[in-house]
Amino acid sequence: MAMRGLEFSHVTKRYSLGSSHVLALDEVNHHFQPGVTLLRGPSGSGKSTLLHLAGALDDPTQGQVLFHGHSLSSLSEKEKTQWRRTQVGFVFQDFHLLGQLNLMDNIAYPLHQRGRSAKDCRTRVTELLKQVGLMGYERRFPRELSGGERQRVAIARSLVACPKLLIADEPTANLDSKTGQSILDLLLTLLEQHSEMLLLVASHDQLVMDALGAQQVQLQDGRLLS
Amino acid sequence: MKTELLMAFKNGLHNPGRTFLTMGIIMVSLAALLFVDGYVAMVRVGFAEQLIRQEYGHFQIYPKGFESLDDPGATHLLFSGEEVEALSKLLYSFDEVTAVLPRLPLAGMVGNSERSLLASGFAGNPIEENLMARGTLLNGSRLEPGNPYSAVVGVGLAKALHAQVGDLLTMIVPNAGGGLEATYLEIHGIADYGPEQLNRSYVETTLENGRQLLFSDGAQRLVVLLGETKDTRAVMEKLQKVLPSQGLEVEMKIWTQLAHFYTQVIRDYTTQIRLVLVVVLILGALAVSNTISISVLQRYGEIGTLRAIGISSHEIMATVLLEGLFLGLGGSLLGILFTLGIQAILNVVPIFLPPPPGTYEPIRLSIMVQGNRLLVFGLLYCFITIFAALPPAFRGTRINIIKALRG
Repeated sequence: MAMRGLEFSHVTKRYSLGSSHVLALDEVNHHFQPGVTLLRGPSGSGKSTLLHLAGALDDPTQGQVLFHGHSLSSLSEKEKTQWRRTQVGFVFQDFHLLGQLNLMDNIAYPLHQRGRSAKDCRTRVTELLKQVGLMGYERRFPRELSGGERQRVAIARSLVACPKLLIADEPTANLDSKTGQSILDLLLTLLEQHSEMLLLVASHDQLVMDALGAQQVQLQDGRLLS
Repeated sequence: MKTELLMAFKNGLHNPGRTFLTMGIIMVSLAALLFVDGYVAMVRVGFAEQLIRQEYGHFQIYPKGFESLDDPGATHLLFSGEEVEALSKLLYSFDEVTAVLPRLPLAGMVGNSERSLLASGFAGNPIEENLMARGTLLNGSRLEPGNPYSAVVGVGLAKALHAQVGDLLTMIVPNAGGGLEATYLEIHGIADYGPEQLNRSYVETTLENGRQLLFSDGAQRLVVLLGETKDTRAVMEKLQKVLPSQGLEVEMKIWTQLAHFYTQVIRDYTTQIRLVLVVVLILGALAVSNTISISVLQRYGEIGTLRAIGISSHEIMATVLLEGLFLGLGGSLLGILFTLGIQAILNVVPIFLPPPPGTYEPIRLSIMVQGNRLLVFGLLYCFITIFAALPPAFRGTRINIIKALRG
C-alpha cells in the first residue's frame, strides 16, 4: 500500500543565478504526515523552494518528491497541471487574486476549468465564503477588500477543489498581528473540517509558530535540522 | 471556455485606454481598406459602364476571319448588307438587346482648302450612334439623320483645319485597289474625345457616307448594346447557338477584350489595393501584438498564479487569443460602422474627381461597399488579430511559474 502523505527523498535543488549556482535544498529527507506542518527558518533557508517542489511547481535537481507514494517528478507537465488543479491548494503571501474578477469568479475559476456547472460553482463558492466569514461578498472585487479579507478569499480559492495538500507560503506576512491571528485560526478550523488534508505552512513569524504549535520542521541553508 | 471568454473580456476592460486605442487602429486601417476596396469597386463598375455605353458596346461582332487580320481598320473583310440586316434582325429579337450599331472604319486624309491631315474614325447610323454619345460635344450637334454627309470631328482636328460647325471638309480614303476615294464631310458637331491624339484625328460620319466611300452596302462590325451588362455573356452564348441555323459565320469580342486600358487600370488598382491590404494588415497586426504583449507582460504574476492553481498552458493561450479576437471583433465592427458612415456622407455630399486618362467625364467620388466584402475583411481582421496574438500568447504559456509568482 502506498505511503500516505508527502515524502521528500534525498531531494536536492540547485538554481543557476547567472554564472553562480545556489544550493536551495541539500539532501532533504522527510515524510510529512496529514495534518499541519510548519516550516520554519530564516529567509533564504529553502522554505519556499520546498513548497514549490511539494506543489509540483518545480522539479528537484536530485531525489524524489512523492505524494501518497506517487512521484511528482515523473508526471508530465499536463499531469502536473491537472494534479495542482485537483489535489493542491495554494495560499500566497501576496494573496494573488485576479483583480478583474469578482470573488465568485476568483474562487470558482478552478472549478469552471473542471467543467463544473455554474450552479455547482455558485453553491460551492457560497459555502466557502461562509466558511471564511465573507458571506454575501460574491460580487465584490478584490480591490474592495482589506488585506485580511483578501487572504480569506485566497484560502477559500485554495479549498475550492477539496485539495489533499494545502500549501501556505508566509500567509500572514502582509497582515497585522490581529488579522494574522484570525487567518491562522481560520486555517486551523478548516483543517479540523478536512482531517485528511496535509497543510504545509512556511513562516518565520513567531505568531504563526505559537499558533500552529504542531509538527515543526526547521530549515537552515537548505538543510533540514529537525 | 466560458471562463476564458470572461477573462479575455475583462482583461480588455482592465486597461480601457490601451484597448480602445488598439481598436481605433484596427478601425482606421480596416476603414482605409474598405474605402480603397469600395472605391476600386466603384471605379470598376462606373468606368466599365462608361466605356461600354460610350465606346465599345457590350460586345462586337465581326466577319469570320477578322481576328486573324490583326487590323481593326481593315476594310476588305466586311459583312454584306444582307448579313448586317439578318444579324440585326436576329439581335433585336433578343429582349436584352437595346441597340445594334453597324460600323465601317474610316482612315485617310481630311482636309479643306488650307491643309489636309491624317484622320481616322468610323461611319455609323446616326440614330443608334447618338445613343452612344461618344465624347463631349463642344459645338453643334451629333450626326444628323437624313444628311449622309453629316460629321462630328475632334476639337483638335477642327482647330488645326480652322474649321467650324457648318464647314465642309473633304475626306480621302484608299480603296482596296490602291486608288483613292473621296467624300464630303459637313461638320455638324465638334467634340472632345479625351486624349489629344484622338482629338486631332477623330472623325465620325454617317454609315451611308461611309458605304459610298467604300463601295459597300455592309459593315465591318456590329456594336451591340444591352440593357444590363450582366446579361452580356448569356446573350453572346445565345447568339452563338442560333447563328449556325442562320448560316452566319461570325467572330465576337466582349467589351473587356477591346478595352485594354480598362483591364490595365483595374489590374493596377487591384495591385494597389493588395499593397494597401498588406500594409494595413501588418499595421493592425503589429498594434494588436504590441497591445497583447504589454498586457501579458503586465499580467505576468497573474498568469503565474493561474498556472499554480492548475490552469493549463492551453487555457492561458486560449485566454490571450480570445483577447486578440475581442480586439479584432471590436475594431472590425467600429471599422465597418466608420466606413458605412463615410459612404453615407459621400452619398449626400458629391465630390468629383478628374476624369481618368482615356475618358472625358469626371468621376464622382463614391465607394461601393459590398456586404460580402465587409464580412470578408472583418473576418480577415479577426483572423489577423488572433494570429498577431499568437506570439504573446505563446510567451504567456512559457513563463516560469515561480519567477512569475515572485513578481
